Amino acid sequence: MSGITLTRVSKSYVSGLLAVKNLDLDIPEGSFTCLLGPSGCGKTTTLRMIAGLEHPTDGEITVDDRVLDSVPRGIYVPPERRSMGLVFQSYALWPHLTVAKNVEFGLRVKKAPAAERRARVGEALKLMQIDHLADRYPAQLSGGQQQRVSLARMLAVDPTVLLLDEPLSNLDARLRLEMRAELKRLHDATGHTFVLVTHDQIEAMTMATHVAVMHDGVLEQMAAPMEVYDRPATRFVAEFVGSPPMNFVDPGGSGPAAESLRRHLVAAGFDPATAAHVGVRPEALHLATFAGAADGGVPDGAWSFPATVATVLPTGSSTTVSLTAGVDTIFLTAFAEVGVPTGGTVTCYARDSDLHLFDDQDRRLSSWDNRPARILQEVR
Amino acid sequence: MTVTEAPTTTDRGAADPTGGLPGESRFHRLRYRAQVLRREPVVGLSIVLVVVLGYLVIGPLVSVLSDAGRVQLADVGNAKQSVGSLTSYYLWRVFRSPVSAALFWKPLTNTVVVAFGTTLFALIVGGALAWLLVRTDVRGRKWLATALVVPYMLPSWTFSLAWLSLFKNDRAGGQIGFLEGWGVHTPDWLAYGPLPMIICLGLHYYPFVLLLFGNALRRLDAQLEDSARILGARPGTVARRVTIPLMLPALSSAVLLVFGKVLGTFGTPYILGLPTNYMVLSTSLYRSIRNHSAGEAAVFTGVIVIIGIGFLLLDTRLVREQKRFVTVGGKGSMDRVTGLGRWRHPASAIAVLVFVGAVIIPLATLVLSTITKTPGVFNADNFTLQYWLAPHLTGAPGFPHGVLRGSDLYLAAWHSVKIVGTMALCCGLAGILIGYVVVRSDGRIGTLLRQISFLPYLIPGIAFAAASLSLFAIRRGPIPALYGTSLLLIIVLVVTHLPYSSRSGISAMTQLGKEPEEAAQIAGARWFTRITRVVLPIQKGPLVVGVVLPFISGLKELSIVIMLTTTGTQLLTTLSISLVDFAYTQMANAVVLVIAAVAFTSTYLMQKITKTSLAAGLGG
Repeated sequence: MSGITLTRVSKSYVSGLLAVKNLDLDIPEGSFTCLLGPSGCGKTTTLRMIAGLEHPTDGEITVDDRVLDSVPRGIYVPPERRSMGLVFQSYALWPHLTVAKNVEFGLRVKKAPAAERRARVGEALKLMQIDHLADRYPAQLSGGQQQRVSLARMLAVDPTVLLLDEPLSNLDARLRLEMRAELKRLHDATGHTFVLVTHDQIEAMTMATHVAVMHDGVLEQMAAPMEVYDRPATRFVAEFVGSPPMNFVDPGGSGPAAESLRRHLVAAGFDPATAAHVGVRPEALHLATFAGAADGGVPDGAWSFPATVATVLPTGSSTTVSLTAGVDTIFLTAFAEVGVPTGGTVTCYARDSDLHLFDDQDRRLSSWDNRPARILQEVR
Repeated sequence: MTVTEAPTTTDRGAADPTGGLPGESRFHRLRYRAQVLRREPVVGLSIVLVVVLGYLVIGPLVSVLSDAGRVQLADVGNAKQSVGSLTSYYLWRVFRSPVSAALFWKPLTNTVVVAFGTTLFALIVGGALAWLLVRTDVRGRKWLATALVVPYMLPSWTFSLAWLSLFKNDRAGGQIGFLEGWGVHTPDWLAYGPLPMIICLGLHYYPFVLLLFGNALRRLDAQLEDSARILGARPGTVARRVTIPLMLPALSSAVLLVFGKVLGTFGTPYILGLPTNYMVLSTSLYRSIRNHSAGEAAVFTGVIVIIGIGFLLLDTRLVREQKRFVTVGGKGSMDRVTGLGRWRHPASAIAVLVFVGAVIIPLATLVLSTITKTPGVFNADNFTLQYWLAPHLTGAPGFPHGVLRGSDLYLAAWHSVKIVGTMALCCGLAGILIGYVVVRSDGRIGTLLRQISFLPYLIPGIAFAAASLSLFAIRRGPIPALYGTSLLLIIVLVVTHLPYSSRSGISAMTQLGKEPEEAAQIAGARWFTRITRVVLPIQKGPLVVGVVLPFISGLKELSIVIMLTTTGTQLLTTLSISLVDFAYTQMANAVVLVIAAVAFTSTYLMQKITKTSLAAGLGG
């Protein structure tokens, strides 16, 4: 069990592309940390640098107090001496070896005695519930089985850290669900530090103990999953995490939603110029009434505005309503059946505690409840 | 920045990462880089490969160009300058002197005539057959598709020996052909020179067009033609306005590649041109090398290299320009055939006739010629197996026994297998290594390596052999003179086959990707273990193909071998040519039949075993 520390790590390519910019990251010992971000955000590069397969152009990487990479100090430990495990997106099983030989490989190159090898291979296969496949070749396995072999192969050598590079992206929806539970179980069972790269926020939310959201080679936020969801540090995090994504209304803009929001903020003592962007999650937005009825459905002091129903998209457990309020398109998720007709006018509202305020640099302002004394105090 | 700290953290707009002085941080980076390089053999390996291949590929070209502009030992008197000084004497002698017409301009014109004629012949025969096989319901399509590429599996000069066995007159020494034997006088223009060269080379190269053009036709999206039909175009219009324009890239590729190949071919022009002194560039180059006119040979080499590179660059350029309107069909490229109706049987008959003319007649002629004493006479007492089996042959002092007797054939075969086998092993390994480095190293060095290993493709083998002779003629630094050694022959054969091996190595390694090796690395395996336990075992199949393909092609190789072998080491191909020189027709034909049999069987077996097609090895 080991914590991983990245200090001011940068990585640029010959092409001039800066993949990772000055990254500071502490991955706690025994955590299940997800590097989350869109493709090209530098998360896979970061993972491969931890593994030693890519080399930083600057900075330092340590596991516990062992320095694995240090550009300033000229230290480099090659991947084969890092005692880590890495599960590839493509699984990268060796096609010329059987399942058992695949799993045994790492022990063999470490020159473990035959009896120990046999025991460890059996253990790893049993842990992944694939002991009946030991004599098959990778080509004879399904995608899910290959995934299990690739995990067993890494677990057999008892790595200090297990790195997973989008391990579930090649599986179908059902298997993915199954493997998520499986990975969570493995993390609990082994107690190893897991670092998983994914662009799938649901994967991150469901499995991780810590989520690191990356964007353009920069760490946007590192926090517990629900913290990331409830208190996104930047507008990028707010928009990236959550589906349908968070709605944004600019109080400086025009249209019924923006105008009512501006009035609402001023009334509460905010400077609309400071709170440049305001976000509200679709499920935090509620339908009050249909046009014509009294505004009795809107709680006291909540922000409300009129909107037109563009489409209604029922998914079974919930219904997403797409609304038009002037120039803004706004999504609303309701967990009850919504009997509104397309083209009808409705009133929506959101409670103050559900509003996320961001400044003109897209950084989170302190939350609504802490207004207005600390209003300009930034988070960091 | 752990979760226990402030509720949220951002990392935007941070200060300069390196703290220290710029020079200091550059030093740190270099030191770290050096640490990485020390642990990663890929970079070292790629540098070694670039240096070695650079020397073997680019070195000869530099050396031969320098030879063309410097006075050579033998010409001190003629040039009136000292050895090694800069001179335009060779350029003058080849291009402008009183002898330059005979020395250069006539061979150049002849080369153009033969190359042009061959290309036209191959294009008509190959193009028509491609259309018949791919787009019509001609009878026996499957069988014909295999049978019609057989001529490409035979050594190219097989056809010229067969031609002489049929049409040779008494102008040159040795036995006359069948026709003369039957009392029909064959004029010189029919027996020797451009016409037979064009036919013989055309018969060897039409499968090349057939495969290139046929593949392109097969990939053409039939929906494109259907759309034109639906819009009201008649079949003729569709062919003229849609199909042929779309086929142009394949067509121009085939033309330029055949042209380039004819430019560097040696056997056929040598056999069919010698009696009437009809010289082409390759035979002129051979003659000047044999006459030890190094400067002159250098100029010839330069000309062939420039024409060869020019043609291939033109080809890449055309292909690139036309790429924008080439549609590679996906779903639409289905097997669409035109019914030939009552022309179905005549069309099959024509295709079968081509097979008979290109395979049956030449081979039958050669076989008959080796078992008859007097050509064209088929009486029982004229048949003999003495040219194959007799322990003693009178009247043939240079080769006084049957081909299968004595040690000559077996020794030549052994040399062929030894030299070509070594070459093929080196090629296969080099191909995989180059592929490995290209996949593993980032960016520029991989591209450089890919380009260097592809360069020999642009240069006709015979010119490359001549250039290598010039580089290795003398000791240069730590590299000894290799003139006349088998090692030089192996080196040149490896380099000239490298484009094919490296291409297949790169594609095999790219397909595999670097992840299986990285997985082994993560699992704790060092470089040597990863290569021997993971990379090579996985690439066993491509490695075998990468060895067998150069082996087959090397067995048939003549142009390069003839430039580099000295009389000490006969290979099968040079043995056949030296028997031609002796005018021992039956024995020369017998040896070429042996080569043809070996080449054909091994190609056929390899295709059966590895399920690859010849088209993949054509490099088109």
